[in-house]
Parts: sequence; structure tokens; C-alpha cells
Amino acid sequence: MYLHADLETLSRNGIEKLQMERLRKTLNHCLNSPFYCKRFEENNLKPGDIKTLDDLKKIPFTTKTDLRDNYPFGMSAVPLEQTVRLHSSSGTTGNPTVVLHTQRDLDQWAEAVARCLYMVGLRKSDVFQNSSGYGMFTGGLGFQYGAERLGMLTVPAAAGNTLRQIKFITDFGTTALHAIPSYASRLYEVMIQQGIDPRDTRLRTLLIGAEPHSEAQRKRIEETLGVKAYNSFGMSEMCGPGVAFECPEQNGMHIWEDYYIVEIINPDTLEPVAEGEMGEMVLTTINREAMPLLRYRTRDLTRILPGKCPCGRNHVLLDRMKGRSDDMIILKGVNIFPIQVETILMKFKELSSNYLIVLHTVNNNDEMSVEVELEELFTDDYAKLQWLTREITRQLKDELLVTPKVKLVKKGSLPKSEGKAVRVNDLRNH
Amino acid sequence: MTIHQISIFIENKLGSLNEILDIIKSEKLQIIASTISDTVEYGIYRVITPEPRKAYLALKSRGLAVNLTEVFAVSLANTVGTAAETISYFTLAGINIEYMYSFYQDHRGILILRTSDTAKTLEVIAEYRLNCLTEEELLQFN
Repeated sequence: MYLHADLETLSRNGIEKLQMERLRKTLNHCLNSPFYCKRFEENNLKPGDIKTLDDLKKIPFTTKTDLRDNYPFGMSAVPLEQTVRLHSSSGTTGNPTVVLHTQRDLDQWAEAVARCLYMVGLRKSDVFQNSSGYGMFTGGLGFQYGAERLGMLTVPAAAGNTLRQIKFITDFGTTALHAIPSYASRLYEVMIQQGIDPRDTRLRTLLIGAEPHSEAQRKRIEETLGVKAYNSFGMSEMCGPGVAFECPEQNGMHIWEDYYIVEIINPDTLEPVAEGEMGEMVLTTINREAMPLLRYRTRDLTRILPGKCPCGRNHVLLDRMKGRSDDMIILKGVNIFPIQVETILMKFKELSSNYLIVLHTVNNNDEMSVEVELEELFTDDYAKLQWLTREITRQLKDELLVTPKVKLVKKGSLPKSEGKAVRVNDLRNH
Repeated sequence: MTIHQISIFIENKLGSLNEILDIIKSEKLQIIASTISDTVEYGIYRVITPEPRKAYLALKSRGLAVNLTEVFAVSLANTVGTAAETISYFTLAGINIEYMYSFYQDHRGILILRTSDTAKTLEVIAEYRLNCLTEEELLQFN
């Protein structure tokens, strides 16, 4: 039942004791990070001032801006030669964020992912296919190493090419698949088109995450594909996948408290919310060498679910992520900020400064369209208008890594930029 | 030799055409000829009117995306085969017709042409002594 029984079944007291011990170690270690060293000094803080978990509140928050401002290596708490891996998430307009790992960090990350996979019943004999993007996107290598750690035959199918994914599932006898929810629905459609009944394959377990989705969507995936689907939560600043995961109860995600200290705050007042209330999740890493993060504001909105989980784990349960406290969009697992779209559009003098991002679901597939106002009819030629549309699409794709549908609209038909302009219209069904 | 056509960006939405027509009406301008084809999301509405600049400024001041485009208005005798013969002159000269529409006036057919090469088109018009309407002649329509 448990891969790390001693850690997974710790009592609340046991968890807090371990957390305090690891926090103390982390705080001392943070003095090796130029960023935290300076921050402690500025706030007249010493690691010894934090005597209880409650004292954590004395430490200022760390934000994504801090990560960007200290690009690329300013957050690191170890010499560069001790690091073995770098992951980076796409930047908005400024620097991207960089996350560094030592070998121990990678091992611990793999252990966390392996623990999640074991928790939902996967074993050595399973065949695990990962349809995440590889490379800088942590859902690729993160699951790869975790699945290998468990000893599963692991297929790094990577993203896209649906026909090939289906061929792998049937030919290799894939029993477990990691996919973003909208892609799982897409797989089902194409399987049916190919005359393959998903229930005839060996696929039994789906791990879904990296994209907001509803309980109804999960149920649909489970029914159509004949699988159990478990929610996965990760974020690149905290390694990637393996931060929190659903247990077989399928009623909330256990966040691994031997790795993270969780706080839920009101994003406006920055004060802790009342127990069980929605707020922004703040995480402190307590099992990390290369890049410890103290009170990192994740911008993800969720709440801690009350009660004790029948699975025997006392690590707190997080509700599904309910959105963001900033304007970041998550589409197909890719993080997108409207400012990225705006920066590209500004380069086209043919366009006005108004635009609207519309997110919608077409045939179970989440799509993004960008409506832009034509400022001047610079041509009388359809081909040139089409060229403009294609060029905007191409540049947006290069920046966002997803291909939006660009729609030219009449000037004045979109919300004006003055005041609080509505830039994003989310019509997705979840 | 050429006239100006107004080209207006138009969304495929109920009422879009009416908005444009109302503006032209408020300027007390006739529509001599106009054309729009069925594209999916947007189109270019092309209009021949007396005083195209007046129409252009009026539409632009109302926030519409407008373009003044140089086109030819070739006037042809109302007999079978004239159009075929006329267009063949352009074909022989290697001139592409980008778009064309026509209207009928005083027993003559008028072809509105946009070609790939305005300078070369002028040569062909001179060579074959084709009769083209001028902007002054358009004024008689109002």
C-alpha cells in the first residue's frame, strides 16, 4: 500500500516534528543562497529565530519575481558544480525562471513521484506511457524518473502524434498513462475513429494533471476509457510533478508534507485563511539542496480539505486547484500570461492595442483564440490579410508554444484598454 | 484613367453591412456598384461611389478600417464577346486580374478591374484604346 510506509503513515505529530527538523536544516542551508542570505540580513532574521512551525510567518514571502530577478543562479544554495540539472519555465516578458537540482534533489524528486505512482496501485509489472512534453517541461522527465524508480517499463512517448500514442498503447500493452485531461479525451475520440475500443486495451490507470478540470470531466475520462483517473499536482518551481497526488480514495490530493510546508493565505491581505477556506497556496521546501524556497507564493488557489483520509496517510489533502491569483492561463499544461500575447501583438502596426483571448473547448479539446482589432485596412488584398493572420499566429506560437487561432475583428468591437479591460474570456467546460 | 474604390474591412456579423451603408447614406452618396464575397469570418466590402474620398473619410472617422484602392472602370460595348476579347488583351500582356465585378450603365457594360500591374495595365488600355470611366464621370451618378 505504501512505498515509504514510515513517512507516509506518520501521525500529525510525527509530520510536524519532521517538518520542524527539516525546516531548521533548510534555514541554515539558505544562508548559502545569496538571495536568502541578503533577505535574512535585510529583515534582521536569523535561522535560530524560527523555533516553531508557527514562527515561519516571520519570514517574508518568495515570489516568482524574486526568481526572475535572480536569474539565472542567484537563488542557488550550492556551488554550481554540485548541480546536475536545470529546468526553466518560459518567461513572460522578462527573464524565465530557473530551477536547479543536485543529484540528491533529483533522487528525492524521483522518490516523490514513485510514491505517488505506487499509491494509486502501479507496480513494477506495469507499463507506463508518458505523453507529457519532455525537455524543459518537467512533466516529461519528472514522471520518467519516478516511473523508472518504481521499476516500470517506461515509454517516453512525449506529446502529440495521437496515432502513434495509440499504437504504443496497443503494441506495448500500456497499463498506465500520464496525460493532460483534454488529451485523454482526444485519445478516446481518435481510438473510436480507428475502431479501437479502449476497454479492449490493457490501459487501466490514468494520471491527469497540469490543466484545470472538473470532477465531471474526470468521470467522463474514466467511463469512456475504462480507467481510474487520478489527479496530479506539480509545479516547475517545486521540481515538477510529485508535489501532491490523489490516493485511491479520489477525494483530494495528499501534499507530501515531508517535502513541503503548506500554508493557505488570503492573496489580498496575505494573512492565513480560516481552516478549510480557499486561498493562495504558499509552499516552503524542506527537502531540497540546490534551490530551497521559503514561503513561495504559488498563485494557485485551493483549500485544505478537512477530515482524516481513510487511506491512512495524514499528509493534508488539497482540493482541486480553483484557478489563479494572478492572470496566468493554463492551457494544455502550458502556462501563458496575457502580457506575452500583448507583447507580440504590439509589434504589428496594422493592429489596434485591444485584444481578447478566448479559451474554449472544441471536441473535448481546449483551444485558444486571439481576437485582434484591425487598425487600418492597409491592403485591398485578401491574401495579404491572410498573410497577416498567419504571421501573427506564427509569432504567437513561437512565444507561447501553443498554436492559437487568430481572428481579425473590426476596430472598436473589443473591450477598450482603459480601465479594467477584460483580456481573457474562459469558456472551457470544466 | 483609374478611379478609386473604397474597400472596407467587414466582419461576418449581423448588421455589419448596414452600419457601412448607413454611413454612406448619411453622406448622401450613391452606391454605383459594390461587391462582397462569402468568406468565413471577415470580408472586404468594395464600393464604387461618386466622391470616394468623402466616403473614405466618413467611414474612417467612424472607426472603420478603410482603404482607397486604385481600380480600372473599363466601359464596353453591349455586344456578345466583348468582355472575352478585352480580357484577352490583359492575358496576352501577362497581367493577372486580381478581382473583377461589373455593372450596367446607359447600354454599356462597365468592368471594375484590379490588376497585378497598374503601369502595364495603362499601357494595354492605351494600346487598344479601351474606354475607361474617370472619377469626374462618376460624379454624374449623384
